[in-house]
Amino acid sequence: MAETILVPQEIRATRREELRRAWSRFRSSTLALVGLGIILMMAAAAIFAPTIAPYPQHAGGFVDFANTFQPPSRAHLFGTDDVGRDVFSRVLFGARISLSMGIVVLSIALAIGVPLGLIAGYWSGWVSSLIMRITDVFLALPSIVLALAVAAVLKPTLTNAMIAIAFTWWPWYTRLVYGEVLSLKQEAFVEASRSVGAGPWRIVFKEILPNTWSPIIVKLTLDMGFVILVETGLSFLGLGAQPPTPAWGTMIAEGRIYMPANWWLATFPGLAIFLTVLGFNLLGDGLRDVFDVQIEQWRGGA
Amino acid sequence: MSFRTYLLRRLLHIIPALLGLSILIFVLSRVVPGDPARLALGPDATQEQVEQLRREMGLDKPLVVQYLRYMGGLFRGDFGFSLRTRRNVAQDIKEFLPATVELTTVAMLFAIALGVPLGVLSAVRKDRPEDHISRILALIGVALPRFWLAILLQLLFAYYLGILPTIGRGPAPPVRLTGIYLLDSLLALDFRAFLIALKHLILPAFALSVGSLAQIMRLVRANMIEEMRRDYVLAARSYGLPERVVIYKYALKNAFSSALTVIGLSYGFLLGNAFLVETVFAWPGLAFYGVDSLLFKDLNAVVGVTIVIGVAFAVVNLLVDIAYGYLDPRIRYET
Amino acid sequence: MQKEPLLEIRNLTIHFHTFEGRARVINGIDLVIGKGESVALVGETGCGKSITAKAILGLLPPNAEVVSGSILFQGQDLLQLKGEELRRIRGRHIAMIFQDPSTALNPVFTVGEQLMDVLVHCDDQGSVQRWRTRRPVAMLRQRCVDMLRLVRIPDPESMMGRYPSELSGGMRQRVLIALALLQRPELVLADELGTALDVSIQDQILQELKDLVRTQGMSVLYITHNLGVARMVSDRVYVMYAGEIVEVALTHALFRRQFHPYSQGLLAAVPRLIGSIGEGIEGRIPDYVSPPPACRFEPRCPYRMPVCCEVRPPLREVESGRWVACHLYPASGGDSS
Repeated sequence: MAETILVPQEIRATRREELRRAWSRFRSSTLALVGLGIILMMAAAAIFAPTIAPYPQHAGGFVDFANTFQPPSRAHLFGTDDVGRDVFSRVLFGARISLSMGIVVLSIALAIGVPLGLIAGYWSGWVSSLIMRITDVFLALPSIVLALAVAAVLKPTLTNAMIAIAFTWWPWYTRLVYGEVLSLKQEAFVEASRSVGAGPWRIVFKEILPNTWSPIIVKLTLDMGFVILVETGLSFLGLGAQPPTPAWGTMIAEGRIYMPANWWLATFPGLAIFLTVLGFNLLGDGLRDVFDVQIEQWRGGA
Repeated sequence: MSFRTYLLRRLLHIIPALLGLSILIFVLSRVVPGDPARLALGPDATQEQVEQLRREMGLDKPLVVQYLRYMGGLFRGDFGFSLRTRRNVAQDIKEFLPATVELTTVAMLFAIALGVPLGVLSAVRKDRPEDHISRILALIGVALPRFWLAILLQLLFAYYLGILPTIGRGPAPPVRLTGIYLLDSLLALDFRAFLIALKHLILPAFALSVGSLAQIMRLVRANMIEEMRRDYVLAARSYGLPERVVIYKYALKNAFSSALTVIGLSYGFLLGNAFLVETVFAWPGLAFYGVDSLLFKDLNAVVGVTIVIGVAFAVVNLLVDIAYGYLDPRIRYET
Repeated sequence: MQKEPLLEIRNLTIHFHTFEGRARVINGIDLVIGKGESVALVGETGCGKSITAKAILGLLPPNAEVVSGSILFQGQDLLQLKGEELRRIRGRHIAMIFQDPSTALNPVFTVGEQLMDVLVHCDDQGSVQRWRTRRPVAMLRQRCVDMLRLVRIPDPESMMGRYPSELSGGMRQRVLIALALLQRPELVLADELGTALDVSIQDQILQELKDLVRTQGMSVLYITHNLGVARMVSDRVYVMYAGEIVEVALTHALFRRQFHPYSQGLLAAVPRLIGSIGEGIEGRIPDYVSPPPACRFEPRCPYRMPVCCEVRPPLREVESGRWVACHLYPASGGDSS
């Protein structure tokens, strides 16, 4: 591949062929399919929470003192909490918070991180080294710690927690894209379009960017899980969503007070976090095998 | 480039990053909405009292001056005054840091002590039941929210089984030398105190370590599988070396040294999660202190804790680099 | 064979399980090495030479399957041995010199440690007993140093403390020879020895090894694709093609006259005995998953006849000491191997 220069039709044909093979590899991976299944289930829970939840009004500040601390039963699958709300309904609504949180955080991280990585990778010079030095600063601290510090100076709300996490997350994408660009820059097809007079922006967006998608997609999938872990952690510490918001982390923090007698309060939201993160990890691992990409799977904070 | 120059270059890389971090955190802490002086004195204080405190804290000066003053103090061991504990943050850090060092170190050692053998087992018995079980455990380990696991462990071992303490570090050993209870009790030859300290450590250290354990296991497995295919492993077999020497010496040393840098990174992992686990176990460490400071908006403490953690993270990674150079001579001699 | 046999391979057949199907890589080969004899196994890259060597030591990859045959070493069938019994043969009785000196030494241990490990861990006694009867370390160390000196490494004492990455390719190759010869094996398998080195250093090392095994009375199986090497070091040559032995002859006899068309092509292709084989012959080694049904060389053979696609030519003695598997040559005597 490195030596041959393909015409666009051929590239498209090879890409289609690659996709087809990738899909068949993906289908043969049981774990990746399980991961996809879990994620689809969680996504369905999030989207249809108002319809599926047996007590949708319990998502907020509802109280029913006649029904407090009911253990799991047919009426309340996951039991009820200290003010009589149905934990199952709240867990369903919690999926909305965690998933949308992950999507927003990663969108922001992508929007900041990818352009910076492209710039730093394609052009060398002081701008590029400045960008990379700045990412060093951000990566000098485990991301959860930085997110905590940022969340602390802001008011503890869900939006601010989101801002805090996104603020710490983008350097990973800058680094990833930077590394990809450095190696792609040398490839024959980039050289070729440079030799026919394509401008730098054209090369960066038309030639290089499309080729960085597979590691980015794999990383995004794995990161969804990690972002959810950090977000629930912040909420657990009281630096994210506040009661009565049905965020999983907040629910665990609230439920912990009534342990050990009312074990279900903290157990089920935690199980939901675990399953969601597991789902994204399984899918991410599967995608990594499919796309055959090597990425840094290590993060400072999650 | 010799190994020493390499380390020196790493160091030169770390220092600007840490300085940048201090600026970042400092600026963040000063642009905070709300007046820290007012916050400290409460709503009943008069405007004059607030102004007085602002002057004392130097909050009336420009940001640059505040930062330079702060950094100047930092190098003299003065981390500023804590509004919450009413003493110098340096003192607080000195008091709380050892507990976190103890917890994270034990957790890391635990992760290595269990993750490496499991990784090797998985690689050697690739695609057999042992491999599948270890891999599934690793997948679970990565995905478990540490604070939730901590709560479940408390529930099981402390409440239902009643065999381990729920919270805290237990009574301090009679002599405080390092502040690390395990070490202090050993140095005082007080084995009962050692045992008590250990009992308090087990649950939090385990809860903290699962993620790193799983990551180390996965990495060692992947590296071992790669190593077992190498020519020198085949050659070692051809000389008639026993399989245990081939695996545990010839393949593992290579696999482990390439896993090392990542072990350093995963220490950051542990430091981050210590904030959650220490909270659950009321473990009186730096992270516990940090969380309280965060919630109280005790900004000098927040800045101090973050900088100390940044430095700790950097130091661990540097140590790992040194260990890597020691284990793998190619780093020392080549390039 | 005039000499008493040390190693006898009989009808060895090895298949590999691959994605494409069952690859019939070694197809019933016979090979004998006498005591003190140097034998060369020559053939193109990919013809199964290295596989044969690995089969002798029981170091085949997991997807290989020995379908039939036997490998008799001092009367014992190596293919029937269990892991631990086989391990005691390796290194002590049969040793292998690996092909690539840049990858066959462990980069994270010193030369001395790798040599010492072989002596410390490869004793025939059980591990418990070994702890009690362990010979003094100084004595083992002296043996390692002596061996390094024997393979002509200058300043062997300081070599003990050095890492492979500090050494030149030639030095690494010598260390690999030292590792193989350390336990004074009766048989040495030299896999493409020196191929990775400069020609002048290769010649030097081969010459030294040749002298060394002669004085030590060891037998050697040289595995090579280089006919010049075979001519320089061996007493007898086995020509291998696509997993089969096609011709066996004394070295000087083979270079005087070749019977099998493949051997003829080989020599024609290498005018002054330098360079690789196979360059002058049309075509390539056939696909092992669906090889030609009878004679595997038939598709490339200039003399092919109808019978060549129907009957596999057996290896027959066509003159004293010369065996050929080709329908061009009727047997001189009986039809046995």
